[in-house]
Amino acid sequence: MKSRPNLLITCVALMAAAITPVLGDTPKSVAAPSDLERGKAIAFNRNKGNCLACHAIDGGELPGNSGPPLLQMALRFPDRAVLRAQIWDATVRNPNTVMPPYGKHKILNNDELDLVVDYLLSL
Amino acid sequence: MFTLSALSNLSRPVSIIGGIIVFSYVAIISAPVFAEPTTPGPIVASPSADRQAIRAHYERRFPGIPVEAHKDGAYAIDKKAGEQWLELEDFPPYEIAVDEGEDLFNTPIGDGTYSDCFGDGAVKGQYPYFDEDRSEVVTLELAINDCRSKFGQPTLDYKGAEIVRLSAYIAFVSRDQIINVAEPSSQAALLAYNDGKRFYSSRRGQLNFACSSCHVQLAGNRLRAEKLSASVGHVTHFPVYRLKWQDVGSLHRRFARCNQQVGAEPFARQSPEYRNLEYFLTYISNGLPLNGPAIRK
Amino acid sequence: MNILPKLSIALILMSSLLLPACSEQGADRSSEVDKRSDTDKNSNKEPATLAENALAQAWDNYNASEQAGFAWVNAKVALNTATWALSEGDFETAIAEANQANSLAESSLAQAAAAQNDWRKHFPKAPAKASSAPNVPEAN
Repeated sequence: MKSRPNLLITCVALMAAAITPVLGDTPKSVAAPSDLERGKAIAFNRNKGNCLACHAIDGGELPGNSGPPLLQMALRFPDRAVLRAQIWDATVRNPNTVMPPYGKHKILNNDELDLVVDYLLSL
Repeated sequence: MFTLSALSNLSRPVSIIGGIIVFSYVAIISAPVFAEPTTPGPIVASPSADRQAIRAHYERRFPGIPVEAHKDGAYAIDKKAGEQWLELEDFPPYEIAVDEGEDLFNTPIGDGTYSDCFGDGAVKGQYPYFDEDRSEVVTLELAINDCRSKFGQPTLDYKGAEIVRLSAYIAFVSRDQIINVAEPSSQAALLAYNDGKRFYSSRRGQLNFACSSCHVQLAGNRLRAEKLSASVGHVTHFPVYRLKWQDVGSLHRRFARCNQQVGAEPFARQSPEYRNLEYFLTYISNGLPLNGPAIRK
Repeated sequence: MNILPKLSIALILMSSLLLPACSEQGADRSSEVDKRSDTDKNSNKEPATLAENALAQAWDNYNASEQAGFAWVNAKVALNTATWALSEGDFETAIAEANQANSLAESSLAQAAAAQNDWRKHFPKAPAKASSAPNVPEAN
């Protein structure tokens, strides 16, 4: 019984070690180009992400200005999980934000959310 | 101007500076918009304190723009769009509705006429009000149907064309009256007022927006290319001719559309919810002139 | 630096071998048992009954959200699709849409509950001197 927590720690440590060099080589996004296109389509779709309503994005026309421009995202969010959590429910970090809770309110499903996160990290 | 494509090929040190700029932007917009009062106040503010607070908010947010200017909605704060809008007023598309409304107004209803209830029709400034006997908010539309009932005529459908044309005529002949809703004082009136205030400030729909999210907190910002207008000008110009509708429509139709746009099921026209909302919104707009019907996108 | 890719491949292989052990550790055994007994229970029922039950539950939550004044358009859309699918005998779609409607209705109920207190944060605070103002009743 005593060895179990140690085994878990070993698992996590080994997996982290395995992933780190891969991330180190590609600081932006590891998603395939076709997935990035799909993520972009969801982000730009007015009935899905509709990110342009509030955020400027390179290549997006007539963006709103209620949120910060989405650029240098990999630099601003070195931890992918933080960005994903922000899109899932931004009110956790800032109760006053008007950003819709895309995950919590099921505006995007898990797959769509991941595609959008990958796309944003490529910006 | 700050363009994104120009930033895409920047070297790393400059990128870091860009990141810092973005971070500070986030820090600024994340700061609480509404500061907590410094001394403990009552749980609920009085209507007059609300009105003062909202006016102060817009004065801070739009320096140099008098609160009364918001009667023109987004055109008060978007000069370029305002110029195009003024050109539309040369041949106002709501004129037909006003003419038809005048004919309806002068058509007898049973043994009486609308004039028996509304005189020359310049009465919009008297609505909405809280009727203590009925213990509910009475709007112009409600009063029109009451008038018909008084003379034994069937009430009009609140979604129909007839009532919106009648109210377009009444709005037109009531232009320049100053909104002056009596301060809610009885318990029942305060309940109705607070119900409206609560509705306005509650996040709803799948997109999780309160009315105030856009029209108080973000007023003046752009949603896509559209500037978000201030709450205090919202009731002055109804019924409104919307280019999107290609017709005149009521304030409650606009409420319903706003609710739907954030993914919330709308309420019925003239429901207690929307009448209380109209009561609250009109009270905080006290002092602004009526200027309906008007044109909006 | 050349050794890095090889090292990472070796580490990925190693960790994938260890992965079953990791996931077994993380799994909540009691929930597995629950799931199994649920499946047993459900397999005795007709798909039509399952769909009807799912739809009834979704309607209950939707009606509660409407009662609270916080109903969502997309919950209603999913309810309508589920009702239509049920009438067509497409029980799989009916159950999926009813579950979607139910989950949206539950979220809207959570939103209604949060709004009970949070709405006050979304309107500008009155100036401090208003503290002498009379207390005002509130609608529920």
